[in-house]
Amino acid sequence: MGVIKTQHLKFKTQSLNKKSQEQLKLCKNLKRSFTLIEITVVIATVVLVLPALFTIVFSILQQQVKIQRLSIVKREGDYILSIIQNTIRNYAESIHSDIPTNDNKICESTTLVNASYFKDKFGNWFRFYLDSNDSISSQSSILNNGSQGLVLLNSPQTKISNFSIQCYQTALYSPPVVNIGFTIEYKTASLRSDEKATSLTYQTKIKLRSY
Amino acid sequence: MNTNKKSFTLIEVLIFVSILSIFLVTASGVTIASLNNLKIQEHKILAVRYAEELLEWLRGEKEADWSRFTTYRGTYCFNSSPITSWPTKAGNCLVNSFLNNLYKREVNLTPQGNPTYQVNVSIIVSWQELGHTYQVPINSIFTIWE
Repeated sequence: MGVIKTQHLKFKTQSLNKKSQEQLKLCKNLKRSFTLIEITVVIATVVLVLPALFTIVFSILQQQVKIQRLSIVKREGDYILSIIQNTIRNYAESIHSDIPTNDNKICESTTLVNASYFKDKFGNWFRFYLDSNDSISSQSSILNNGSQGLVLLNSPQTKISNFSIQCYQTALYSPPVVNIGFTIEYKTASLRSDEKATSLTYQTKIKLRSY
Repeated sequence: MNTNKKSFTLIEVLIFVSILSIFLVTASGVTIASLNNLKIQEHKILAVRYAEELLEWLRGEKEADWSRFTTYRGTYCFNSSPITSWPTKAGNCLVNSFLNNLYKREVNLTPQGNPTYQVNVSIIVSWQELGHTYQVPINSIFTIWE
């Protein structure tokens, strides 16, 4: 009886061992991991796709920045030209080399001279000049609600170069012709050529109406 | 034992890959279309600028000397910016002399009356992009009294 009992016990432990071994094996099978090949394929795909994705996104951003700058430059350039043109054409009566007095009138011959100061029919003077921040500044009462003061014509985002106002007469007693010209570009610290490319040149000639 | 080892079937993988690829192709198509659109917008802004530049320059010529201005008639091609002088002779833009290698900037001047009291100015800036021809037309009238 005692022998049978121990045999039974032995069998029981054997079967237990077998069961736990099977369980262990099952566990091992469930706990799968990626093979080297799989990881390599995934990394290769990511390496191929990511640069393409970033290139597309980057080029779109770059193009958008370019357009935004171009439209700012064009809007401000158009504004400056129309303000200067309309103010000089409609208000200027005489052109002077300095703060207007009776004896510094210029533009009374056919030679081209720099025009700095303009006087309107009420005796008030105004002028446009390039200030130290590369902006066009206007000192006038017309643009400043009636009292003499400074008005900036462009925002700090843009800078102006080659600004010139010159005048001459086509014939004696004819109204002077005023040349206006400037180059406007986006102010940027970047040296990349594609970011600097936004620069527009404006030039026109007008005749004084109230001469 | 083998039924416990779970993995994706071929059908599942195929469906996933095809959905993903349809999405990616659509997304890249939309992106490329918008990039092209942006490029066209940029060219349009510049084209408007060039058309206005020519109009301002012509107005300057008119203000400076009306009688000289009225001697110009017909089509002229202005393929440089900033404009410095009239083209040596009238005529349309030649194929290899476009402004910025892209724009065709032409003006048609038709003086009216004898002696001329008015000049009709019609400026067209056109360019080709992706098989389309884009145009920016500006029409104006210059008169001796203004």
